[in-house]
Amino acid sequence: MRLNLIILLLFFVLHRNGEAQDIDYKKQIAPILASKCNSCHTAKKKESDKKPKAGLALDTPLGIRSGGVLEVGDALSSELYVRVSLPKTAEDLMPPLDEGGPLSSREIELIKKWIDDGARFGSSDTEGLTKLDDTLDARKVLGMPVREPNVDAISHLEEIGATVTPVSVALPEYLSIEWISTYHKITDKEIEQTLHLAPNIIELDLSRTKLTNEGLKHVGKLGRLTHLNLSRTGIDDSGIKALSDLKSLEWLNLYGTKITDASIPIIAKYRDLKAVYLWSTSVTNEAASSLKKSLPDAKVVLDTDAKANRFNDLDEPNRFDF
Amino acid sequence: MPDSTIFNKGDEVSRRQFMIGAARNCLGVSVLPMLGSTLATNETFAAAPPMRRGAAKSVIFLNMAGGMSHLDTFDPKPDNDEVQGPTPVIDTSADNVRISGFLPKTASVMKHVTLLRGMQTNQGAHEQGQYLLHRSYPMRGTIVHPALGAWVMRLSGRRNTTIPGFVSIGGSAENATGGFMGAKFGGVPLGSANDGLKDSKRAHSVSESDFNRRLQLADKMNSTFHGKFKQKQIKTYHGLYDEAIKLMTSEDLKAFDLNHEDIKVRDMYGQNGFGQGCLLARRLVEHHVRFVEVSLGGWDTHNDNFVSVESRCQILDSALAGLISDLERRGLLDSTLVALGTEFGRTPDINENTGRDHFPRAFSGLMAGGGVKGGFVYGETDRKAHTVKEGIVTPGMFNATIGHALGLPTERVVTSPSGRPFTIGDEAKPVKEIFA
Repeated sequence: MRLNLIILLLFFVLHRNGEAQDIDYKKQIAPILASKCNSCHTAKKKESDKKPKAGLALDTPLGIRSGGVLEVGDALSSELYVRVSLPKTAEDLMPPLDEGGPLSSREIELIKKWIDDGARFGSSDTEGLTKLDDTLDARKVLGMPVREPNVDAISHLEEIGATVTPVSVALPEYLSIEWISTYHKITDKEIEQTLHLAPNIIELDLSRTKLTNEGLKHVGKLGRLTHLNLSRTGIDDSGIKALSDLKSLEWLNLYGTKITDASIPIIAKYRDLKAVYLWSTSVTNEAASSLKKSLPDAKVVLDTDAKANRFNDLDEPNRFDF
Repeated sequence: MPDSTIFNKGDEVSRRQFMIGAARNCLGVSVLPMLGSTLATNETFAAAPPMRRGAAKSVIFLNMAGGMSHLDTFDPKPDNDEVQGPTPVIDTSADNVRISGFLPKTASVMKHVTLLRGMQTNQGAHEQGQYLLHRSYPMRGTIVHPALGAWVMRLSGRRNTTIPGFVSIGGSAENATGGFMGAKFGGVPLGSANDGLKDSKRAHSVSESDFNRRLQLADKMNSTFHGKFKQKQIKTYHGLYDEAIKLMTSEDLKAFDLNHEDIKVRDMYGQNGFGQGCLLARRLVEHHVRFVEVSLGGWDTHNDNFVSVESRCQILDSALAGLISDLERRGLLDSTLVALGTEFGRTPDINENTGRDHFPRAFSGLMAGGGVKGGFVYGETDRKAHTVKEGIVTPGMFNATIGHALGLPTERVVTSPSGRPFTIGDEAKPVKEIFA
């Protein structure tokens, strides 16, 4: 009986220890990377900085996650672990022997456990998020400094179904947001949440979401947007007006929406526009030609082929709602 | 406990048999078309977002199996009847670019295409040639190299987490192998576009609660087994259940169903396996699938080359032109790289059976969209289409170029379980000249 009690106590002690061993990225992983990896693997902060070695930046969570070296939950398939755990004699050992390698066995073990446990960077609770500013607009956003994006805001957006990616490993503070597999449940409410990352977002894909004209008012505040995909959403001319302040737009996809010639004057004001997609809308050939005249450098795509191939999914939106 | 030897055989056949058996016996479902290796972790969504540095987000790789004649498709020699034979030559929508008259619709989209006329390989047999084309490395007895799609998965992670990131339509299941990277990075081989993922529904005889209970049981058995035999392969099999469940409940399944497509669009691509495969590829790319391969066989034209190539070209022409123009009008061509490759070309000299034989020294491929130049030709052969004069592109370079278009680090070394280093293009450099 006493033995049982001891075993039970022992079990609790061990169990609690096990819990206490959850790896904290900021306290335990980031310092290893900072001291042993970041002298070569750091994102460019300014033009004069050198490019990160092998296109891999290990100085920020986004750099690590998007570097193709992490298979979450599987250290043995993660280059981040495999390369630091090679034998000392291996040519591909990281860090190289003359650059401080190899890592200590304790450090290697920490990295392995952190990856196997899910490679978590921060908390996904939204308490750290500040309330959205009601007076935010495109001009204000353009005036905000571009800092490293808030990891908690990214976790929050991922929680509601967004895929958040830096557009380039060299520029980890500029983000692309997509709704992959989740688009069919995304409403204006979720779209509004992107404003938490307003100064960082330059690409936004809302294709096939439940976006309405009302939701475009949020989109119109994302002043740094260069790429915007609104294809196959329920928006029309009255919503497009909310986008007039998006002066940096270079690529705009409106295919399969209800817009008409009435939206063309707003589009014609995007001086940096390189491509606009208008196929399967009510925009006429004449209006498209006039747009082409206002923006001679832009590609205006109304239909690439004969009218015979026209896909009339506007008539039966539900049938093609895939 | 199942016979453990089945797990020790690393080959595709035993793995597939295991999966069919496991899915059928434990879950009461059959997932036939996705046998190969459609496995990835279920945590991917929350924790491994993709990267994007190049213009391309997805790749559609068109595999011309059998060795496509370059003279009769993309590198005609109209001034040299001796090698050209009866194949007509036509102008295209790109200035100064002429192609075979068997491809009139493709001619109209050449303004979007970069032709690669300096393709070259060192493999003159089909199996070895296809192997090199897909994997950048020559066949070896000691290792199975991963296919290009697996490299793309490994270096970038998948973007859609409810349907697979790598799908191969209509070709050999070998084209979808994860090789030494494991089944986790391999693709889903689909026999035919029209079948879709046909068996990924719960069997009628199994109620939902029963089904969930079986699943829990399977989970339990798994964790016991898993704890006893900690092996990478077993972890991967475990992923099958997660994947199968996701497939059955996913909105994304509609991506696989061509019945959602207008009949005019289906006609535009061509009502044949390859045409519908290309249409399916477009639907999958719309659903953010990263790498789709579609195969068209029958290019091995030792006999009656001109008749056979013309009939192949009819299929290729509608599908390729349909695909490029459909992607363009939807705004997808900017972010989708269409790449067409083959294992080798065919002899400029016409043989006694009015055929052409294998010719690895010089052949053609093409790329379109995904940031590559339109109406551009890279590489040139001599007047007999016999020797590459400039702009050689090897299979390794071809694959590295695809990786580069996706913004992947083409120099990145991935280590095999035996500790040997590999890169996406066998150390070949991407052809950067073709990017706009």
